[in-house]
Amino acid sequence: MPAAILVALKFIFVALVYLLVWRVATAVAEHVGAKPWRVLGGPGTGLTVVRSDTQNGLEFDVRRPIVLGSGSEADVRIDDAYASDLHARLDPEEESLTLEDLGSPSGTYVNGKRVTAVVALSRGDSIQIGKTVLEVK
Amino acid sequence: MSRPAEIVFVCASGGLAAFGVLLVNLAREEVRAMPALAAFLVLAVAFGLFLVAIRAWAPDATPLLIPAASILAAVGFVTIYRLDENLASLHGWWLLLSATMSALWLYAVSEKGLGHRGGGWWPLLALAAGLVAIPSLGADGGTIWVAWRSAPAVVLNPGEIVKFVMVALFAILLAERQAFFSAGGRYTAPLRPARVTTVWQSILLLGLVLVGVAVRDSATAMIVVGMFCVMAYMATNRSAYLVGGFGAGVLWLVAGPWLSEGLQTRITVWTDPWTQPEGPGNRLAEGLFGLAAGSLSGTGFGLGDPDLIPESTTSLVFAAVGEEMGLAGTVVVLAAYALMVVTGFGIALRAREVFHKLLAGGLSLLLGGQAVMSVAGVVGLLPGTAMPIPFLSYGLSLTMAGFVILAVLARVSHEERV
Repeated sequence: MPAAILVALKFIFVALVYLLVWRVATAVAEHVGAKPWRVLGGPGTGLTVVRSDTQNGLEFDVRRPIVLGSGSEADVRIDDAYASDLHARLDPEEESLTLEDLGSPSGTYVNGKRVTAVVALSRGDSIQIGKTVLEVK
Repeated sequence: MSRPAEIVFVCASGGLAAFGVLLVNLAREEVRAMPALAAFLVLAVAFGLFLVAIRAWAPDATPLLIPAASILAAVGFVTIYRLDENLASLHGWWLLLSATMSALWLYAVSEKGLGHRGGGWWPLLALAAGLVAIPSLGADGGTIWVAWRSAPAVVLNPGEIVKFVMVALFAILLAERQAFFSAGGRYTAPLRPARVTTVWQSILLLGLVLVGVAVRDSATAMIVVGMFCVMAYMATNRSAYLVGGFGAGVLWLVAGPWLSEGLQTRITVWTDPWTQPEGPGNRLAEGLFGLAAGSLSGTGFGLGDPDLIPESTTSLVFAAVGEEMGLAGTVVVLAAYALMVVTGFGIALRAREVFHKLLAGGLSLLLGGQAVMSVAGVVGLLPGTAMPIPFLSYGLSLTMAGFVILAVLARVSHEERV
């Protein structure tokens, strides 16, 4: 085997290792450093019930898409007569937490405004479902 | 990174190993397809099995753990194959065995999770103490490893397992007794006097285990003490632990040579390896020669002389990689390690439970610390601390410890995401 070909193959091998490590590096950067919003359990990914007859102080983090509602199929049960069985959906998206009303008759309100489309939430936003109020922490 | 991408990485690492093995054989003017195929199968099956176990028993774990480890294992496999074909085939079995063991561990904890620890941390301490004692029971009492006379290549190094056990132990101890360590050892209200006594007893026992380690393997003892100090800092935010750990390290470097003749030789060699290049300075000198011969891009697989470097498949594997892949190869190997450590710390940062945080943080630190100390030993930054690197070096205990660390990180990541 001519030495020149071996040298070329050597460079190809090292280049392949670099290519693979580069791909891992970009994936790790996406996951860890580049988007601090996505740090689960960090600011803006948790909610606290601040007004409710029975659930004051209830806290939970949104680590995957979850559905709020009064039904047994909801991920987080809202004990409120005005809440629908499956009332609203929270999703930890790329940039921030998002909220979507699932067609509830009584509606979902963010900072007093009725939710008609998917809305991005920020820390301190208040979400109203029936008489229950939750705050993004 | 998506789950399908993980499968691509597993196959790519197998392909990388096969390509490397092919290059080694081409340099020897041989065209052999079977070793390349075997290399592909070993890497693909070992990491494929581990991937299947993660999908089954830790499905929400981050997909970033396997890729970097599989790339390192591929580079390590090629380097070992280039140095000793028989050792490489054994290493292939170790990879498969380690992947199987860690898959079984994932299955074992899948029901009750990491939080269920049965009898607490005493069994772990007993295991660590027992592992430290193993080498003295073997034929080569006083060494840090155990070998079988009938199969000298099958070497068990309990120190590798001790490090892992110690990190788990520190995580449990610090998580359960956080208030005690935050108060710097003084009596604190949430702890009843009986519990304080238990803590002191455990510290005494830890000390005894450490002395046992230090007698045979001072580098492992340094890592274990360092791990405790950093993990205690992580748990309590008290910088006194870091200062104390640093102080202990300096004291060990200053006072160690008077206490141990071996350490004295190591420091003499470290300050000037060229005065005794054929004697004790041989490891450091040959390692530096290897790195120098590799220069920027390396000699190419099979074209250098890494077999002149002592322990080139274990402690000095970094020098062997440096000789045949050059600075370019060593940089990318360190980058892959850094990515594994960053991923591990990412898992620790996301964790909510203190125990999970400490366990993930401690294990990431162990992976990174071991790589840094090994490389520092090879390039002469630290005296004689060259130690094998998980996934890159040959060794059953080491490979097993590497896979188990990945499995624990995967489990923590899974439990924190669901």
